[in-house]
Amino acid sequence: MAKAKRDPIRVGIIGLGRSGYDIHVHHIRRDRRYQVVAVADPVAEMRAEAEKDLKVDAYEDHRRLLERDDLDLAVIAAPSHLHLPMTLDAFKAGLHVLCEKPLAPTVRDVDRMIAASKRAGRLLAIYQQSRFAPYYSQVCKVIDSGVLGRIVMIKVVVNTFSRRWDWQVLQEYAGGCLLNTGAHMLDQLLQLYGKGMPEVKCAMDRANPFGDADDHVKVLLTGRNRPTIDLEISHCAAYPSPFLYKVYGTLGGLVATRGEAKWRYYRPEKAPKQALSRTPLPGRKWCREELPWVEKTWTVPKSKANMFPVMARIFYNRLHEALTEGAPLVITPQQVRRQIAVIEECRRQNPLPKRRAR
Amino acid sequence: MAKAKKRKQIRVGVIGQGRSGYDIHVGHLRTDRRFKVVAVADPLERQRADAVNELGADGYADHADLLARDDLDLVVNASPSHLRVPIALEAFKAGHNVLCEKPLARTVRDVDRMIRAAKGAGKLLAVYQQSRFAPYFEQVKKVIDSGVLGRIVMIKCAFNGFARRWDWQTLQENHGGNLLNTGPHPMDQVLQLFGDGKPEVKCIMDRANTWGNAEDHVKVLLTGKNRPTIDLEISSCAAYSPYTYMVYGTKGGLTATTTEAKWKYFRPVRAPKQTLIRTPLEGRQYCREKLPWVEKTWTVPKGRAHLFPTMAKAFYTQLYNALTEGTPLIVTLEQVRRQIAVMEECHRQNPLSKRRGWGV
Repeated sequence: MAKAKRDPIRVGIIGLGRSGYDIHVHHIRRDRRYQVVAVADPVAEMRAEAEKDLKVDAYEDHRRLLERDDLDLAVIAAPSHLHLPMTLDAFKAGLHVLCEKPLAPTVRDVDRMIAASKRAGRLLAIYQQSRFAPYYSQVCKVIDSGVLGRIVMIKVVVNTFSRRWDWQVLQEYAGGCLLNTGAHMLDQLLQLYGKGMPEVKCAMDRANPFGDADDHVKVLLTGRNRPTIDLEISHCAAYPSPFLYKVYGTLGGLVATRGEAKWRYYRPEKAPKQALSRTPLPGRKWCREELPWVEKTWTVPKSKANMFPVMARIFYNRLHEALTEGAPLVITPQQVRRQIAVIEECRRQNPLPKRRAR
Repeated sequence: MAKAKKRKQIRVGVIGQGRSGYDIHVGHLRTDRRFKVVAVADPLERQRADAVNELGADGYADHADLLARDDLDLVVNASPSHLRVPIALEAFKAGHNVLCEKPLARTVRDVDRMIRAAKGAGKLLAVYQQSRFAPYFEQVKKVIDSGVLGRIVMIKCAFNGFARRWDWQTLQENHGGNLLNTGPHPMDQVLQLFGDGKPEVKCIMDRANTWGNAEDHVKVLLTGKNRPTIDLEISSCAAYSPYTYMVYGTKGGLTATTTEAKWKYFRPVRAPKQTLIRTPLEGRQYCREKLPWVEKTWTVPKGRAHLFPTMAKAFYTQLYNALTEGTPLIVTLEQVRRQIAVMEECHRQNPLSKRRGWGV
């Protein structure tokens, strides 16, 4: 059901925390194609602030918000373990849904959401905004150019040494760094991996004394004729990686942070001619040569340096096209389903003891 | 003051006079008065000539002639990797003590054959895993063992670079490839840090930059219950590779190259007291605190700055003690056997065709 292009999309935002308010309200209030019509949050102070700031109705119970008949889209930015029930409620109320990441902790939950969206004839969009990160676009661009040759391995490292004591450290809230941060990086990496379900090898750990969810994860994704994906998310890295991305290619490599990238490559036709030697090299030599390296760099343009608003803008552009012109979603539920399947396999390989739920 | 008993000078025959036999072994032994190189063997005259001319050693084109001597205390087996096992077995048959270069063998089966042969001959089998004595490794182990980093969650080790290769060590038929060529060094080290027991192995291999048919890119993950995860890379298509070791602990971490290390840790009793909060934090805040870090550094001492001679000296010292006083070797055959078992599993997971020239 495509909406008329000139009318703003009427949005109900469920959850007014770091995501609902700092990301979604922050963007939508600046985007004339959308309008915040109502919000919901269990915390009274959050509601009061929204009422004062946005001049909209603020509900304690999201189901009251969903009873309204003047909404087109529900943004679900509640804690992760509530994504499933709230998404189902929103589809039942006849709304399109934009759900925050991680979509859900299990493929079964994802399938239920996809089925509900089909039954309702409404879009299921997932806020995997890192797909539109400027640094990621640059990494893809360099890889696609072919200058690095065949890609052997892609490493992503998101690490720091920090302890955490909020809800995100609890399994009962679908917390943990793999669901929280991994959702961003796996979405990017699975696009770079290519088609098909990879073989998954995962080592998970919990260094943090406060919660029971993972805060250290190492994931290897492999497949025939596929680059190896090596994803590390760790909160016990005393010397954090200077690079977010590291790409190993047969003709060179790339490293990137969120703000910069550098890569080097050589052209084989410009390299010294060598030939296999089955006998020891004269003078006990080791193979040595000077490769004709080409070095390149990229810096994120100033206008895109603040990543979150940039990614929000692109995301909400694509969403608008989907809602008003029937354009296909760039980030599809099927892509996210594969990501969740990988995460689920990681957790299956690494059962961590659970804290007693309240 | 009792006079120190004068210990025997070890007479050595070195099989193979290449980058290992000559550059590493003769290179050390010529400076070490506890040993004397009296014989060398190598099919290539140009490689034999150096020890013959410089040290007055006897030169043999055929190693069998060297093994026929009865005046050797030790044979150094620095033959090409694929000949190592058969030559070692011949050496034991001829009644020699053998120091074998790495990789000891490609399979555990061959390791066991050599152990049996050494036992049967009543002779010593030692393996030249000199990286066990690398100063940077000793420092990494020292910090880990001190406990200041807490429980070790993960250890990353990278022996990486970007380099094409076209010599005999790129061939499977020569037991080449990054894992067998280079792997024994870091694999021996990380298995010491892993702890006892057989790790679960996940390995990916690839051919990126090689004229041969063996792998030149290796990624290994070792895991085990109550064991740190080991992430080992030996890649020749790593265009950017800043560290050798990266250690992740519950109370801190360490990073090291082959010449320097730095580590930081905190004592939980000195850290801010926190409690779990299930509801959203006020002001949409993320958890923030300042941990009371203690930071330390280490640089390799000047006298040990040359890595290969330093490792050779330490290795040959423990070997000398084993030969003259029967002290047990520090690098044991059980340890090497486990290393070979891991590498054999890595190869099993990554069958590579024998066709050449994949990478370039």
